[in-house]
Amino acid sequence: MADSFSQFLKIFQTEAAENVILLEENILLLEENPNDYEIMNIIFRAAHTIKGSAGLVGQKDIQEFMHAVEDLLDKLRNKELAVSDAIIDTILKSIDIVKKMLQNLKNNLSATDNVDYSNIYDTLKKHVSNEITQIISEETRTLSVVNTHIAAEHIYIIQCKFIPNILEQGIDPLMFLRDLSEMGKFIKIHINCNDIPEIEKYENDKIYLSWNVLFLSAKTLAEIRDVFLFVMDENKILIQDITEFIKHNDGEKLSEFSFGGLDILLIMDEYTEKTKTDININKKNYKKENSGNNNIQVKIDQEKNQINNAGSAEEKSSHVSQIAEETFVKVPTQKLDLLLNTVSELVISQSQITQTVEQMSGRHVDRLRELASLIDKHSRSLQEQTMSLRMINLGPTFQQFRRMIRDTAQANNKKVRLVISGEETELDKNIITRINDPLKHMIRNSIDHGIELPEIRRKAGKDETGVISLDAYYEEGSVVIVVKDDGAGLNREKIEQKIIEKQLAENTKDLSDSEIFKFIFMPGFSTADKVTAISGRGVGMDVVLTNIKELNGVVDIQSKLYEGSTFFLKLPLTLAIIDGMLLTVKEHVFILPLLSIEESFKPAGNLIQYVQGNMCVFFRGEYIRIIVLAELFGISGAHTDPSKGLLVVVKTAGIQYAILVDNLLAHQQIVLKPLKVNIKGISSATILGDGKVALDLDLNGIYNYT
Amino acid sequence: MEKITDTILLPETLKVSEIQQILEEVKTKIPIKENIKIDFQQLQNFDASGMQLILLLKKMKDKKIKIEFINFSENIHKKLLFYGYEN
Repeated sequence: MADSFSQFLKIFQTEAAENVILLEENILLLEENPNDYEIMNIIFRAAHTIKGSAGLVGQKDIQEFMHAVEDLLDKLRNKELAVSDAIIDTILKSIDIVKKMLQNLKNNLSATDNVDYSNIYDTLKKHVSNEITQIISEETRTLSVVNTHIAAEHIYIIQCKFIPNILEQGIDPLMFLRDLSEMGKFIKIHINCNDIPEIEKYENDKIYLSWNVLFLSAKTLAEIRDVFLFVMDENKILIQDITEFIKHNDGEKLSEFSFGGLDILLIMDEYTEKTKTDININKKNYKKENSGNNNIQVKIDQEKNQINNAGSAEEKSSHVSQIAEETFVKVPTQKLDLLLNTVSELVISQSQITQTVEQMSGRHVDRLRELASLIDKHSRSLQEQTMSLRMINLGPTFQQFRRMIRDTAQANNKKVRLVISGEETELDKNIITRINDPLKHMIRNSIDHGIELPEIRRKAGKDETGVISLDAYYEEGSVVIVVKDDGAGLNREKIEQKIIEKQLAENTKDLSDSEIFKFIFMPGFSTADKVTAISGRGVGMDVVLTNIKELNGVVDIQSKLYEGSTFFLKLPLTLAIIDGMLLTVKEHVFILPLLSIEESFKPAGNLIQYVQGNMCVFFRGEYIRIIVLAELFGISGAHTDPSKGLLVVVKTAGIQYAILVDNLLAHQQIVLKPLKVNIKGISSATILGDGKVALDLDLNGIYNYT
Repeated sequence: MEKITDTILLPETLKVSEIQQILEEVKTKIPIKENIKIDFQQLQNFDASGMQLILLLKKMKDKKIKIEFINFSENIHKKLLFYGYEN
């Protein structure tokens, strides 16, 4: 029992964490689009789910806190309060509180340990009590009705009879009606009061009421059921789609449905008449009372557009249903890693079988070869599918920066808008986890040093709100992530001064802009005039380069003074499989990532020179360093004279050098397996088809090591 | 001796924790007061238990049991209608 409870608690934590992210993302979107009904719906549902699930797993503090958040959201949703900076701030701070509470649960603490939420709780309550009543024009309301009516596909009868002690579970039956109202239109709500006893027998904590709802909605039956997801088992909730009976005026069938003794067809007739009349009356009233009111006109126009786009609303609805109907299974990442590992072993064993069969002869060898080829095909396909399980899209990673950008911009008195594209681009989960920090540093840097203060931007003829855009796309077997800002751009002159001052180079004039800009990734390099809480110490950007290098990625910069900067991060799709080149040094086999190889050649003796004590080769107009693998790893009997071996020119993280090897073997897809020990110059290993172990060269490590 | 007034002022938010006291007040006043006024002036919000209490009082009012609703705002009326209340 205790085990299953702790499992429920874990599920709650995971789901609540997802909903908190959803909540945060959409609150920030709401700030930009305060009248977006869909965003409000998503926010409300996320908050409501956290509250409901918290109650189910006995997390009363979270439930109570989220109840207060929900009260405020309810006011916003009902337009009793307007979306304001203060309210957005309060909700974001509330989200931070919930995050802390969830973190506590994760650390096996009580949710409220060291979490002081009294102030924010009071603020939530104050917002709720200080209602700013915004009267929405009746015209807008009526047009909404029509809109819903046009988009609607179904008429439902919903009967709700709750267990008497439902309030003790922290569930307010009215919230289901509120939730439903977001999904369509109540044609009629009938409340049954017959079970309310006389005052002498009345118990204040019991619910005696039940409701019958005649409901018009474009949502599917499954979506309507989802509203009652948490209470379906214990309570008597009946939801029936009666659209067909209404369409065919089937009074006989409809009389089978109980609706508090009322005639459903009669209710529908009254509703249709009332809707028509309301539109006419309100059109007249609107013209009389609100002529010249631009704000309301905008609202009406928006509503009208929605009506005109009713077809696309239906498509959207059907798309949403489709997504809702997809089933997902949550799998711990360790299990995925284990699966990938086993599949990799399978692929390696398969290669060994194929290689063994190739060396065999005899009666059945042809058949054996066919079977080996078939198993090879299936195991490769299995490997690809397993790999795809680890691939996740960049959307959530990008979205999480909305909050950071908002807070950082506010702290710097700047205005910044985030534009996201390429969210669907997928990367290996392990890579995504490790690009968080680099992206964070780059974005902070863009806000602190790139985007100018609003007045400066205005004077420069720019919009006072700066734009940071995040984009991602596939390119040549890699993923490129682009971080762009429309700020002040990098100042080449200033960077050059700093390079000379720090004696990082003697002459900077011959270097290209990109080469000059890359100095900002050097540890301790900062051109900032002052150190702020965010950046300016020259830490941070070197973290970017280090992390990206560790991922076998590269960084490039384009920047134009006064116009902005663009950072390109080129990353491999996955760390687990690479396209590799097998090479030998004596009997040892090494792997080089194919993407890093520029060229391989046998150099003539006169191209080899020693520059500052290092053996170099003249390659395309310049001397590049030669690293002799045999010397590096202490392999005796291998070539150490470049003119007798083979030079492979590699480029990694902007550094170019040549590796001296004996021979190149073959190009092969390599499943990398991490090493349990740390070997300098080696990042991982693989087992080849013949059972031999091949070591994957860590190109950055080798360069730094030598 | 405490003076028993004829008015019960509903709180700003009517939910389960406040209801017991209101019930007791109503029960106390019914035998001794000619008319009990339920004042909605402060009421801004309610949950299902609050709505149920209002319906209980309305039922009593409909049965002519000395109950009178005062300061019944349009805002509250609209909210009650939304949840299925009928005049």
